[in-house]
Amino acid sequence: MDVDVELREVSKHFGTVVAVDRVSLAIRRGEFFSLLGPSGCGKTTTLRMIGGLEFPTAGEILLRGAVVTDLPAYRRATNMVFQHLALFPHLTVFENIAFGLRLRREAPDAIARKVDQVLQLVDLPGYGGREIHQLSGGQKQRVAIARALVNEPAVLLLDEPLGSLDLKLRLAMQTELKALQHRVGTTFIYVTHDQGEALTMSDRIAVMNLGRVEQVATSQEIYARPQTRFVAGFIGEANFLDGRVVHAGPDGVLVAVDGLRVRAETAPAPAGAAVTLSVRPEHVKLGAAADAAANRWTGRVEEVTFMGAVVRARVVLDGGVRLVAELHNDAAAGLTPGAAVAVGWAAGHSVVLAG
Amino acid sequence: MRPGSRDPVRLALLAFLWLVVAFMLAPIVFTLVFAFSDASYLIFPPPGYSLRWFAKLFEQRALFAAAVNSLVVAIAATLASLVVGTAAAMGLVRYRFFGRELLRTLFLAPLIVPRIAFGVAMLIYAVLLRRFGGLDSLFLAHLMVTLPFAISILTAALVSADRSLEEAAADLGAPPLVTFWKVTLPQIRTGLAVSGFFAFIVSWDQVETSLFLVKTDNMTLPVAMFYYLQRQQDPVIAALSALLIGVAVVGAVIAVLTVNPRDLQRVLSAGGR
Amino acid sequence: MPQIVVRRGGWRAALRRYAHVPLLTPAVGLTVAVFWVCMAVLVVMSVYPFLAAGTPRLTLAAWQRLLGDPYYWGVIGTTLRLAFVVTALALVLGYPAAYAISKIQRPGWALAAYVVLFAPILVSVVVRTYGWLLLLSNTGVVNYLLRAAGLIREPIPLIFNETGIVIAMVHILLPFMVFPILSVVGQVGGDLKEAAMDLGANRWVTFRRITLPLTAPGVISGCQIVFTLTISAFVTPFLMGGGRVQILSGLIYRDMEAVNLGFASVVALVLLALAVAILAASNVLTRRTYRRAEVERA
Repeated sequence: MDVDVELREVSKHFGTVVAVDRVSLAIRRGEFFSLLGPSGCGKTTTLRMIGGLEFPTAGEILLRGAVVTDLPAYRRATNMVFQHLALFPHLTVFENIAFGLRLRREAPDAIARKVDQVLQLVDLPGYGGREIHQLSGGQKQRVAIARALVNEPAVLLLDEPLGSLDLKLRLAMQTELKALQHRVGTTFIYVTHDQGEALTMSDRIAVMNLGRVEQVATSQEIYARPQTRFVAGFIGEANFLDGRVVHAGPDGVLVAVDGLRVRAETAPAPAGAAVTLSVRPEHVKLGAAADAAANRWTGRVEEVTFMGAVVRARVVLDGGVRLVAELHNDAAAGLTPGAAVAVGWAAGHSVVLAG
Repeated sequence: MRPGSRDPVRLALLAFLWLVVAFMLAPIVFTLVFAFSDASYLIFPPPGYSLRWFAKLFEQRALFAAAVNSLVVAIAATLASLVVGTAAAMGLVRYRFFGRELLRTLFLAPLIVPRIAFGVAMLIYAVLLRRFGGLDSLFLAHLMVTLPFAISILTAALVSADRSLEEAAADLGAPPLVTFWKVTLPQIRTGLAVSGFFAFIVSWDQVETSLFLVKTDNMTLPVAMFYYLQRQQDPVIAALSALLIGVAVVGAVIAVLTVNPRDLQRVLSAGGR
Repeated sequence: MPQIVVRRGGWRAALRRYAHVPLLTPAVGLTVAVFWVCMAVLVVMSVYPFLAAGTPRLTLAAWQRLLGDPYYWGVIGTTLRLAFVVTALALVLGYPAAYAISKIQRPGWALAAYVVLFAPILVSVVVRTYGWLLLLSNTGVVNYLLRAAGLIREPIPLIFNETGIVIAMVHILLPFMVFPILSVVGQVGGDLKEAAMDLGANRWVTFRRITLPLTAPGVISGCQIVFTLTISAFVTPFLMGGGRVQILSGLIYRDMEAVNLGFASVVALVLLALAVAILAASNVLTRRTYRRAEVERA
């Protein structure tokens, strides 16, 4: 598998502020790769370094095997879709899209043909003559994408491009972008703070926090096997249980949490080590559904919240441990505050976190 | 308190404004009247009307040569102010470095010095360097007066320009000079127009700075008019004034029609004085 | 894990770090070589008259001549007095004018007001001064109208005296007073005035205690500009004064004609010192009133 973009121990310091801290990534050709994290985590700075708009304080950046760390943006085979689009207001749609092509001195008929093609691709046929201010938000979005794609970059960089769109449009554009990426086959590197967006669109996700990459994995794996407390809490929701490893063996790990013995899947944690377990609310079963669970205790329902398709229940175990469970509304019959209930989950659903 | 257009305070203010308007326009209007007067001295009301003073004006070769000098120096000073000023503004706005604020103050310092003081200083300097009496010393003196305006206005214009557009251009393959030409310049065009306009007017009308640097060869128009007025006060000067007023009116009309008022307001209020 | 060293980067990184230098060099070079050196030469000339007749030597003679002679103190006094009068009149005319313009509803009329007030700047100072000579001379428009109206019998001398200078200077400098005041007057929000009125202040009190203090920075700025421009002005006072009113700029001109450059330099430096003093005073005043204005607005 070809690696299109590689970052080796890349850091970026702004004065004393460490925006990006020794990040190493290998992004494969044709991937839809997302950088996900809260604001200030360094994802946009990382993207801009890949694009050549910022330059690392340390580390190397390679594009298709060639070192490009110091190469300015206009000499790199990357193109960016900017957060606020950065469409040239004094040029028409056609001129915006043709901008990069003209700089490479392509023949006028080749330019016209390519612009037409890319306009078809983004579903804006015939819009070449329009002025930027005449376009709607979604249309401007597509022109920005077209302007980047028409240059056939090795890598397309997208900096939270859907942030300014309303919810419905955003969801529609997510599907469109994903389909577009499949059609075109270009490597996409996508920056977002919206975990739902990242999970939907990406082949792989790098979760970043405070300048460091916490985990790189596919959507499913990140969700099911978060490696750190931050990742577990940032993606989806989690119940956190802090405890100490009592027994570690080939069939699993036993963790003592507040007087409970919780079974978890195998993890490289020796006996005696302090660990945190994460259990997703939808894996916490209540009542009859908890009968066959490896981890099973009794407890009491504290609060029940009806949320439409799902019901969330906060339960407290007899030992005092509090958990949130999420169930389908038909499975929630009989759950009332104060009722005693069985609580349980599979051993495989307790994820051992690194910290 | 009576709101609305019948409000007496409001009416008084507007009447006052009309008076001020009349005050501002009076010398200009009456210069025009005298330009067409038939008398060879200045009397009101004019005994008759004629164009003879315009005819006499066009015989004044010295005044014409002075006008050409003024034009050449003004154009040169304007172009130089725009080029040097834009470069300096880019340096001040787009980069962070030690001493930036000090440099900004340094550039604006010439505006504080009284022009006549600077004029006499330039005289001494020019004589010292044996460059007295040429258009070059005039050009440099005018440039020192126009450049601070240009830098001030252009830094304001650059600050409000959108940097992400420049990044987009770079991302699309434009080297820095191309980005500047195709993206930055169009964004600051109102600032450039206002700077150029101010620079031209200031240089064209400069008296105190030119006064000490001219002799017959490099006479400028305002100084020539000044000397003429000291010797005689015939309506030839009125005719010339009428022409210059006409040019100014045309200039004002063009300015009003071509400039986007919101851009202009932004540039002017940010440019300070 | 191999340790990767912090890079200082190649020539490209260096270029990026120092790119501002070539951009700023022309402006800095020109300003220093022409303006600063020139002003330094002026200072030198005032104490070491190297361009005068005779052998130059370090001397304060020119300074002593200016500062030791009561005649010249009189000239300084006249200059300052004229500047005060012009500034005061410009304020009296300019403030209400600015206020009136800011209240104009229709943008077309507002634009016209702007044009009328500021377009005269496009016309040369010489031309406009000449216009006032025409208007105010004994055979000019004003005297004609006054006589036609029966108000006077003999023409009033309005030129070649201080009156003429003041009238013409106010005309020339009025836009410079109006502009800063206009900038601030529009910022006094209608809600502040409404709050005052709600609390029982009538229009005059509202103006005096709300609008006036909040527009103080603009007033100070306008006064500073007009005052400085008045003391620096040469053409208008010279032509309108007809040689009978002597102010500092006139001294410079006279001495230049007599090639008495040492003395001219001293007078020029005194003018500069006055201009700087006015600027410093107005900065101090502005900082004090601006802070209060900010607090009152918040």
